[in-house]
Amino acid sequence: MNVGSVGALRTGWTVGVLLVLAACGGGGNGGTAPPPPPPVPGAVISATRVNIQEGESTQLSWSSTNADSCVAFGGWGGPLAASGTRVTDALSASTTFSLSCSGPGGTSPPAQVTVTVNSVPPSLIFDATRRILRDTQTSTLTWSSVKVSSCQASGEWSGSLPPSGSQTVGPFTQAGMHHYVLQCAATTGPTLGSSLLLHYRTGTNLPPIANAGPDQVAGSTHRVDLSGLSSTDENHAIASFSWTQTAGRTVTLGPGPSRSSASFIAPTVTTDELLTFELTVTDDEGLTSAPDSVNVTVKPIPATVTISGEVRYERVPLVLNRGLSYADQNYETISDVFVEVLDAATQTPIESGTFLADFQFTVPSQTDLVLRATARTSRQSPFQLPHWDISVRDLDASGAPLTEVYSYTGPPFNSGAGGRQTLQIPSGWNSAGQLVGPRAAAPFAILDSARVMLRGGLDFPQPDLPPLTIDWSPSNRGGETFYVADGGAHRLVLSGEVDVDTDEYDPAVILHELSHYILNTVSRDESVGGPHAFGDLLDMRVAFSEGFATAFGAFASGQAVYADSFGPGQADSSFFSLNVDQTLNEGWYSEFSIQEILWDFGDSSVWQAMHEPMQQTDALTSAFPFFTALKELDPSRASSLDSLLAGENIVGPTINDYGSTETHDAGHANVLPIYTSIALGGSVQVRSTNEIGTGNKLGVHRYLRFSLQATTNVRFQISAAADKDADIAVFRRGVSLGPPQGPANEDFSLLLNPGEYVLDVYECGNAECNSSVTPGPTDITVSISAL
Amino acid sequence: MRRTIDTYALHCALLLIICGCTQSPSSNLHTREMEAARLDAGARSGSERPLDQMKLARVSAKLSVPVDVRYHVAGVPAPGQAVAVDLAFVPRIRGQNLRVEFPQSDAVTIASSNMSFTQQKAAPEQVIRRTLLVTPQRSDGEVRIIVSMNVESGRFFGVFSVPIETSRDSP
Repeated sequence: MNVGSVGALRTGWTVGVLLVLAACGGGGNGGTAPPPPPPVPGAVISATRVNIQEGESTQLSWSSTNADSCVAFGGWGGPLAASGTRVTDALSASTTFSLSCSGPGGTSPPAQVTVTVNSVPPSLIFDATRRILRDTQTSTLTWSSVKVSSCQASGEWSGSLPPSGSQTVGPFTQAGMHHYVLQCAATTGPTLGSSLLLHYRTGTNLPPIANAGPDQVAGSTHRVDLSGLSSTDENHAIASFSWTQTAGRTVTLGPGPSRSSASFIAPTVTTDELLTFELTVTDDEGLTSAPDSVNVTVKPIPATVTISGEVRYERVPLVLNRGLSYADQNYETISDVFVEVLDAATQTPIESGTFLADFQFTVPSQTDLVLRATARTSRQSPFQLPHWDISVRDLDASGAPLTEVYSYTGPPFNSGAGGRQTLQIPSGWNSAGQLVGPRAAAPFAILDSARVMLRGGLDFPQPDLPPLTIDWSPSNRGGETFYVADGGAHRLVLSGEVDVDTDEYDPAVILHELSHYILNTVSRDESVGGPHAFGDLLDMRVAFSEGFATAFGAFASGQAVYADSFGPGQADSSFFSLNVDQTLNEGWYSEFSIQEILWDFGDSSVWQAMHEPMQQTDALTSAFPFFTALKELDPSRASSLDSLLAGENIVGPTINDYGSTETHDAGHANVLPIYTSIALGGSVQVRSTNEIGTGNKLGVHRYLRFSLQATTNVRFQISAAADKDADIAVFRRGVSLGPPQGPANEDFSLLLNPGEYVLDVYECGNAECNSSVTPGPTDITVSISAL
Repeated sequence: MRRTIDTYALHCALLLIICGCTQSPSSNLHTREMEAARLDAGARSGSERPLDQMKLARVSAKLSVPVDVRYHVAGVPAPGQAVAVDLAFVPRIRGQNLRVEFPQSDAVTIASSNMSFTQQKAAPEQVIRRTLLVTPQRSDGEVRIIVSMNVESGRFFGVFSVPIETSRDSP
């Protein structure tokens, strides 16, 4: 009950008088005290409900002290007894009820209570006593409303109607539907409307037929679903289903997956137990079926059971211009990784495998187990090609491996009677971008990005890839992401440095690096690597390798946008689109030109070009042999490729492996010709320069070519100014043949078979291989002769 | 290789002495920040070291931003002692929204009034200079710098490293 009251009882005056008397020593026998004045009356009033709806009443209660009578005023009026109750009229607005009470001591201050009246919106209720009618049956339509002035009937009936009332309809003569519509004009607001559909049926209503489904067999602790979906009602509809258990160990029936079904958890049994259930159904006229029963045989838990499920890792999405969006993390399924189930107590592996879909293990029942996923994806014989073996490995701050391969072990669970289990690998980041745990999901996110290229992202014609190790660690420096082939060991290093650069959730970066690995292993890549920036004029080998890797990665993902998160909170990202022509420094020395041509041309012949033509070319890997091969493989699109090449300042119609017809020199001398011919017994001079830049920039490395008709012991001699350090490397189809290790790299000999050879000539100060030499333009004289 | 200490370096060395006075850690930091701000202002107002007298900072391996970062360490770095590092950011091409950030590091402590800044328009002729007051905490200290810039329709970044090695790299 909600009671509100406001009252006033004056006791302070009386207390004050008594205190004065005590202070004056009064109360003794020395004289006659005057009689005390009569006390002042007091009054209180309350209401049983101070918050009511419009049209409701409430009960008022009042009482007084030192009073003989009261007078009401405000929301009510007239004389009142000294105490009492009264029910108010129906109230339409908030009202304050006041009173004051009188006695010998005078009149009390007013007491009052306010009853708040909440407005009621217009409403309409329209119903029928019977909605399905047969034979001579009738139905009474009743309607009532609030704040409605008048109503109008339409449909099966018509005419003006009062705001409330009733009307009997039927019996009807023909089977069918009868539609009654009622619209009422509200005193305020829009018109109210309601309608009823009455069914008039003829003939005999046949009872529905219950079907509790076929008998079932269930394992202990498994969920069992009972389905009455096969129940029928020949002439009308089933309105309700009722399941009861009639035999066997009592179970609690819960809701099933549909209105017609029920479910329960099978009890744990040691021998087969039979549970019986009955289903009855009732049609929409209240006619109930005969019961139908179903038997469920509950089996004991076997010694071994099957568990199956998914491995899921938490991915942080990369949003263009916003970097990694930790608020939008979600779990994604990863397959193709190595999964084990272990005894939780002993950590002994029970079963393991790599699964394309759900993992599935046979394990001891009712045993505490754990699942462990390893960041390794491998597909080898006897599976058909393609084959691969890629793993993600942790490093310490110095770059030394900490573990063989990353793995994540989930929490213990009991195998029970088997069933589904999900191994969830958290990112370690909360939604606010704060690191709250190990970055366990990162290695799996990396593998998942790599899988795009391995499975289905490209139309791979059966590569047999060598093992690849991906080194990722939170201590891996920002920006230091690269691929390296070291003595047959292929390694990809990914940045992991928080607040500087992390790459685990940057698929384009991972696919770019993976493309370097693919190019190197199934084709050739003579890139010297090194830093490279947008707009750089690069050594042709570097430009091709980087441009190819970006385009090939984009082919795999189908995404034209390359994005890379970085910065504090990983909240920024670099990006560019292969669909947008970047116009700076276009040419065969631009990685952007290479990747834009490739992306625009499409991947239809790329894979074939990577194979024999690129593997067998006598030239170094660059745009020239690759686009020459593409033209030859797809002659019908040669002119289209010529246009793309011309758009990027590369001579297309006469293109060949050595770029001998190329005319674009980036505005620099000492760039063309790309290869200078040299004959046995001859001598040529080329200039290595740092005008464009050092290291891997255009003009640092100059190229010579020569051919041998017979096996020859060839002497190579190079010379430059005394304060310079000229170097040379001899290549045969991308394989470096010399010079031999040691200081004598300016005068040496090699026994060479017949064929085409390429010389890479450079000044080591320009090429950043000798820091004691000041970079600068250097003329290098090269002589080759037969010994 | 030891180089001759020029007057610029001497000026900075004197500043180091001032900054090295015994103070409480908090007031020392406060003084360093003020000093860094003053050095920033001084670098912008004039007495700028020619670019060809500044080394190129090492840039990270992955695709980078077309900006050169040059530096000059004005003094002899020693563990626990602040040294001024002049920086010059040289865009190789025109761009927008050039942003420079100095991420925190265990290897060095950077006292700066601002650990990042942005320049809306960048061009090769507009060299951006800053001076940092850096205290190496280890012998292999280095200042890390993230530089990003919008170019044409893309955005690029690079991570640059300025070695603050206490065993060498004397001015």
